[in-house]
Order: sequence, then C-alpha cells, then structure tokens
Amino acid sequence: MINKLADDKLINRIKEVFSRVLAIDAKEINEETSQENSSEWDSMNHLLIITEIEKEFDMNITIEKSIELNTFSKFVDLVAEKKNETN
Amino acid sequence: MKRIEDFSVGESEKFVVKITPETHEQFKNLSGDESPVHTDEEFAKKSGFENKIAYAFNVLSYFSRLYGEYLPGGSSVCIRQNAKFHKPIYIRDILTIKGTVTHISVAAKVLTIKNEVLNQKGDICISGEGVVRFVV
Repeated sequence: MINKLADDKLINRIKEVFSRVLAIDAKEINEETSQENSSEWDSMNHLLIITEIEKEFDMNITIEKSIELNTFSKFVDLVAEKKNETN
Repeated sequence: MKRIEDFSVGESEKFVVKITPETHEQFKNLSGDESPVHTDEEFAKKSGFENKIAYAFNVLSYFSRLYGEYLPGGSSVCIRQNAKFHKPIYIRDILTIKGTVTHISVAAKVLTIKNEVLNQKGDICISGEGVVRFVV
C-alpha cells in the first residue's frame, strides 16, 4: 500500500530514479516491486538506488533505515514522510 | 585510514601523469587495439588530428589509481563509472587526473566523485562521474 502522503508526481519521480538505476522502463515499476522479485535490483544497484534517491530529494538516509528499504513502496513511504517533515 | 564520515562534499584530490610512448605501447599490447589513429602518425594527421592519439581507455585506467590511492584511498570498489571524451589526448601530454566529492551516502557507504582529466593547457579532455563504495 503506497503512502497517502505520496502524490503521483512524487511516485513518478521515484520511479524515474529506479528506472535509471535498474535500466528498466518506469512502467514496469509498481508498488509490488521489491528486491526479492526484481532480478535487476541486485546488491550493487541497491546502493545506487539509495545514493540516487538521496541526491534526487536532497536527503540523507540513515544506516538503520537503509536496511529496511527492500521494496519500492518503502522508498516511497520514506521520501513522502521526509518531504512531509520538511514542509 | 579515513572513514566515510571523515569526507566532505567539495573535497578533491589530483595527481599528474605523462602519457609516454612506453605506456602507449603497453596499452596497445594489453588492449589489442592497433587501429591506425593510435598507431599511424600519417593516418592520424590525415584524419584531422595533430598526431597519433593516446588511448582514452588507457587514461581512464588512472581513475583506478584515483580511487585506490587518493579518493577515497584504501579499500574501495567502483560500482558505476561514466565518461565523456571532449578533446583528443596525445602521446607525451601531461595530464592532471582530478576527483571531487559531490555526494556522500553514509547509509550506502558510497561516495560520488566528479572526474576531470585536464591536459597541460588546462583543457578538460575527459569528464565523468564515478560512484565508489567503501569496503572497510
């Protein structure tokens, strides 16, 4: 379930980051996308996703939080909450 | 040895190398690339270059030294690298290999490093970006 704080624009920006890093079409990324069910989402790309999300949204992800981030939805939740905190 | 927390955005390192006829020859043998633009002076000049051009991929190999010895130095692995080639590099050119930290991800233990390769005239011959992970 995608976070209620996340609008389509935000979700699409996160999809674009995933699409760039994983080299797959953004249309293939949805709330079910996870490290477990995506062959492109390997350990190296996981590091790149964290880095690129930090850059895209000018935020820092903690080590503790990064361990939990194994699905697209969790990234959306995190970014939406961070953006909500700063607004 | 520095930890990732010890780095800061904007921090940079650089070193100077010369592309010698010997290293040019060694890279020719290593890569197996004997294309005339690298090996035939007359051909290179007819193709619009000042002389035989150096191997850009040989120059990129200095990014390995940049990451392994200077920035961050120590145990690190490059997990992504891109590069744009702006100007030809010639044998005997003296190059400055420079890296500047543009982003630090403590969670991923990753530095993003902007690369520049400048010749002795100060021209940017190669630019790029590397993403480097701390192993320690």
